[in-house]
Amino acid sequence: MMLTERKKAVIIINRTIGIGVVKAKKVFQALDNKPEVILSDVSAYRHRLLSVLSEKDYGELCVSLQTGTEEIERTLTRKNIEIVTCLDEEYPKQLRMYEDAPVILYCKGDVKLMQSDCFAVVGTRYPTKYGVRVTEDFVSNLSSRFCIVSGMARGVDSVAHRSCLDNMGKTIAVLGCGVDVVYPPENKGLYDEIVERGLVISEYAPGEIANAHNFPARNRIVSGLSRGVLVTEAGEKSGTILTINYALEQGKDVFCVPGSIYNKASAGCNLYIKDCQSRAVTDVNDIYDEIGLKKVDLSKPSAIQLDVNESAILDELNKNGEMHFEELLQIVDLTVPQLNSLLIKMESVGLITKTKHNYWSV
Amino acid sequence: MFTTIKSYALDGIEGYPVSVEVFTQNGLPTLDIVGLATSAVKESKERMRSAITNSGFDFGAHKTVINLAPADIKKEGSALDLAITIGYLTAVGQVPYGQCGQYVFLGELSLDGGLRRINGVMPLLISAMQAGHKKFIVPFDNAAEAAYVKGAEVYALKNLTEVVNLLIGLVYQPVEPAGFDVEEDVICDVDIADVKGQLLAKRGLEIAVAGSHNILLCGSPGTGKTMLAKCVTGIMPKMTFEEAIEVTKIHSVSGILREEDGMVKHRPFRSPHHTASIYSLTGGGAKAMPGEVSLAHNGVLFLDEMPEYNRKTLEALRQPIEDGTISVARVARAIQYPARFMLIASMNPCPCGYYGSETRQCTCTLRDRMNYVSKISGPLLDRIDIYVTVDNIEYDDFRSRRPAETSAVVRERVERAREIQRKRFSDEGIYTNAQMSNAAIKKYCAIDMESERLLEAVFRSERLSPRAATRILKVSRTIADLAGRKNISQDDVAEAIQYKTVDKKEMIFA
Repeated sequence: MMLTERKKAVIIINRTIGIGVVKAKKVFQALDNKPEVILSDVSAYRHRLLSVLSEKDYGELCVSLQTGTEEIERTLTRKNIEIVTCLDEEYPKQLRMYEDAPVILYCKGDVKLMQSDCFAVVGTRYPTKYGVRVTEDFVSNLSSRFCIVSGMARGVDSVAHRSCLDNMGKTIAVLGCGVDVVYPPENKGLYDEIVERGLVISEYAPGEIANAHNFPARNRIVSGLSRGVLVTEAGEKSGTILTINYALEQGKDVFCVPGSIYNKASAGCNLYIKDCQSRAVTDVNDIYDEIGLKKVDLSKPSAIQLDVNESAILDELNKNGEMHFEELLQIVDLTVPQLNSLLIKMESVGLITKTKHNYWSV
Repeated sequence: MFTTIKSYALDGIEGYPVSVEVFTQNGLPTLDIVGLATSAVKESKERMRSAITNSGFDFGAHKTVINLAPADIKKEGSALDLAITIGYLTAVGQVPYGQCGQYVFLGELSLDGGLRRINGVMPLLISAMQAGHKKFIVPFDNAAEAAYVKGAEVYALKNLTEVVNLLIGLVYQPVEPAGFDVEEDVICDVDIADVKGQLLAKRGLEIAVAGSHNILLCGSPGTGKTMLAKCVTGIMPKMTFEEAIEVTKIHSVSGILREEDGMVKHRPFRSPHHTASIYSLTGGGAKAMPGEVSLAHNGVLFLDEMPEYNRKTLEALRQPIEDGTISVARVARAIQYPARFMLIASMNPCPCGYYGSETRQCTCTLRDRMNYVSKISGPLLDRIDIYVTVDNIEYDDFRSRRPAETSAVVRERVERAREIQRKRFSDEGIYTNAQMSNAAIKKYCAIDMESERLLEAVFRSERLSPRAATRILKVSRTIADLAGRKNISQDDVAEAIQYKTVDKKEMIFA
């Protein structure tokens, strides 16, 4: 695709060594938000530029100008990547207010999604079954009202994207590497689907490989884009905690789902709830309540007539939490095949779920 | 003098006729064997020389040529010893040719003139019978095996002297034909009632056996996967005579048939170690011998710790699972061996074995687990219909109101289900539900609206592949057969879902 002169200039300034996000924005201001003027004759604006840049930075900018933009243009065309700069109309307005918001967003997918009402769902890379279930439950409802934003990392992030797509919702993945790099590799299928039906964005140039120190920085975009941040499961020392901190700095609402006090995987969530920095939520209505949206009806279909065995199973599961097939077999007067099919049928109407193979809970 | 003696040699699990032609004349005393004889056959002349002398005959001094016709097929093994020796004795005139032409001679000689047991007597006799031969002379030690060949007049003799005596007219009793006793109790090391608890897994095995579905057992070490697998031959239907013959032929050729049994009466249970090579599994070697897949024909092939097997070895199992036969091609020949077996595979959930365990902490990283699971061949996994997780659950037998079912009880149900399948597929050329093609599934696995809805719901929520759904249908057909239902009910489909297979991703992230 052909890049506008302005986009070309932004790319050149953005990639200059020594000019970061903040300095780049000062440069734009110095050039009256028309950076394209430097393309024809940079020396004419030397004086203006030196008001915000050092001599050394200016020198680097000239080097960057000489390199040109043909190569990056070719890459963008070949990989079907669009770019949105902070000087463009399409740049998400939620991000504009933050000083450290990225200058360029590389995008693959439906760019318009960035304008929609977004909600971030994040959490640990190693969720327990509980974390997965909580994420799925919340996202299945949130996705009908919001575009779900997350980081496409392992664990909760992936579950959030996946569950959103399954519910025909819209989703944005913010990557800590180039938008053309799939990390973690097992998410290839998910990535393709998000590109197809949602949006993948990144502030890093195409081809940039996944680098651990990039990930905390992308979290500021995750929270920045969103109206609020939901943390479904997070340990005490995890990347998720960084997202929460960014969100709090940015003044976003943070919602944490409480977990067992004995479970380390929920320690982070419980900590933020304890410190009153986030709101504890147990269902999606708590979120809607806080941000002033209409509540939804979450009650399970109750029209189902339960027979003796079904209610016995439900009672026991309510009492014990999680039970193995053979434990259930002891409380009902059914044969193995009968119990097998009964459990699957109860699962299909949403009365119970399989937590692990052979383990069931309400 | 010139004489011809009939014998048979093995080609795979079939025999082919070999004419032993002996020509002696006066001249320098030499003895040559021609007709592509391999070393075991060439050595037979030394055994012959010694056996003849030690049996009280005179070896004499003649110029002798022995031809093994057809001359363009390689002859292997020592089963031609007897035919060569009788040929020589009749050619030099020490034994009258007389009735020699009526017999087929099989047997290896020892130096003292004794007749030694050979491999493959049953396939040799069956092939010879089909070619119209009726009378056989075999080593005494092969009597039990030969007794099962219907209609054959078999003389099982101890040594060369007895053979000659028979030929010159002494009366010997032919081997008493043995009946195949299907009522005989199935011998199995472990009765399914001995396995405590594990009712879910037991039921899974029952369904698997009833439809001959391949099954994968997954569970931590010590949960009883191996013991469960060992029960399986006990709940499989008893072999029919024809099946037993098929199995015996293969085992006889491989030389693993037990002398006193004479016939394999119980379904084979083969569990090759995970260091097994491709060729030991599929068959091969210089003589293109049958491998484990063929030895497990009509029985069980058990792969314990499946991810530990060499990936290529597992890949090689695809063809036999699909076709029920395996073609072993070697320089000299390509042989088809039957290989219709039920596959039971077991695995740990992770390299350390305790991922997801209630009792012990797993020490594996995500990468460890991914590597472990990635060792399983995907296409092989596609051919497994039933998946069971085996857990270590404390099971209180005294509290349980259910008496444990014995293998015999379960087997009865399985046999009924198999009978239904046999009738249903009589025109289809298949035997069990597991073998159903897509067309057959469409024809025989129709489900009602209710079941359709249930399947649909699972399909959506678990993102099943169409293949997985097909497997669920096949398994529900088997469950319906076990219950004696003509149509598949919603209960059957629901239970099949309980045993549905998982893909690799689910194994890693479960």
